[in-house]
Amino acid sequence: MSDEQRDYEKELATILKAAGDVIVGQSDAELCADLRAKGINPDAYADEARQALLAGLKAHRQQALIKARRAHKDSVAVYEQRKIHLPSTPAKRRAAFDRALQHDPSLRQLTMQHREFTELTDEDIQSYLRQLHELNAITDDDLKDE
Amino acid sequence: MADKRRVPEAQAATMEEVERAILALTPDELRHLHRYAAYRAELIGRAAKVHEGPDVLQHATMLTLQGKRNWHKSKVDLKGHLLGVIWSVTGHWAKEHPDLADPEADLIKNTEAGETPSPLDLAASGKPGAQRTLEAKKQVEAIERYFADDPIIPLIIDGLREEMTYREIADALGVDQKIVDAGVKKMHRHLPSVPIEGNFNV
Repeated sequence: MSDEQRDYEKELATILKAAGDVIVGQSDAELCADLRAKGINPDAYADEARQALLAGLKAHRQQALIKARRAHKDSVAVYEQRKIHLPSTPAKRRAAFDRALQHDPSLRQLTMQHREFTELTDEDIQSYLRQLHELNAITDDDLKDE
Repeated sequence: MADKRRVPEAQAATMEEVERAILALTPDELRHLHRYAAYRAELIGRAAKVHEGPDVLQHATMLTLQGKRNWHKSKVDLKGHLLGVIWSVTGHWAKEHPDLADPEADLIKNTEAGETPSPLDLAASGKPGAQRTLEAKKQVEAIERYFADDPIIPLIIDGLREEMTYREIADALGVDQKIVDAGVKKMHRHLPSVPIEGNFNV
């Protein structure tokens, strides 16, 4: 067979596959004997394989978690960057917030179920105003400076 | 060979099924998987010296869970699936990253998106086909030279080239198949010692 007719990549793959398949065709007793001849404990060898497979599982879960956290962070960033005009001073923002709660007292449950009203900082107020706006509980008009 | 394109999504195993199957693997199956991965790593990792059997097993699991190598559970058991993934993954490593210097480069480090890039993802540096063919030619010739004086292995390689089974090779040679099997085992043992440049790239 001339060089031009030979498919060397296929030939190499066939040779390597045949060599690798020797392992696949081995009985467990043969494989254990080979391992012992190399000074390897067959039980430890099996355990190491299981640990490697489980490490793959764990790594995949960690990646999924990282991905989910990143997606959440991105969605929060998008939400926080959405342009809405808040009242210009902390007092005006607090007033707008109070009006929203007076207009719909049920919002108090949503926003302050775990906090005393007096504990709210201006940052909290800004965040709640953004959330209420996002939920359409307040409008742009509600946020206008008076 | 496992190939995502051939597995309808509905028939691919879920993460829970893969986990259950991993936990159900017997010591016998685990030993075979480990030895196969280690052998492939030994063959393809000689230049890079970066991948060991457990690395290959871990990566094969991750590719399966990521859906990059779907396990068609109704057609093959997990051991059979992973053997296929080990073969193809190590082949890609050998082809695309023959000079990989850092073992953590594509096994452990995550991308910013939280995904481990697979060898397939990193294939941009792949060698042109003509270069691969030339390397394969050199490697086949190196194998032929190494075993040239063996009474049976060159004949087995000829038979494999003709896509013959071991039974057919034995019949053609007029010998017991045990002689052919023994020749293949000898080839298996000595192949990692064949002097080649770089690593086997299949």
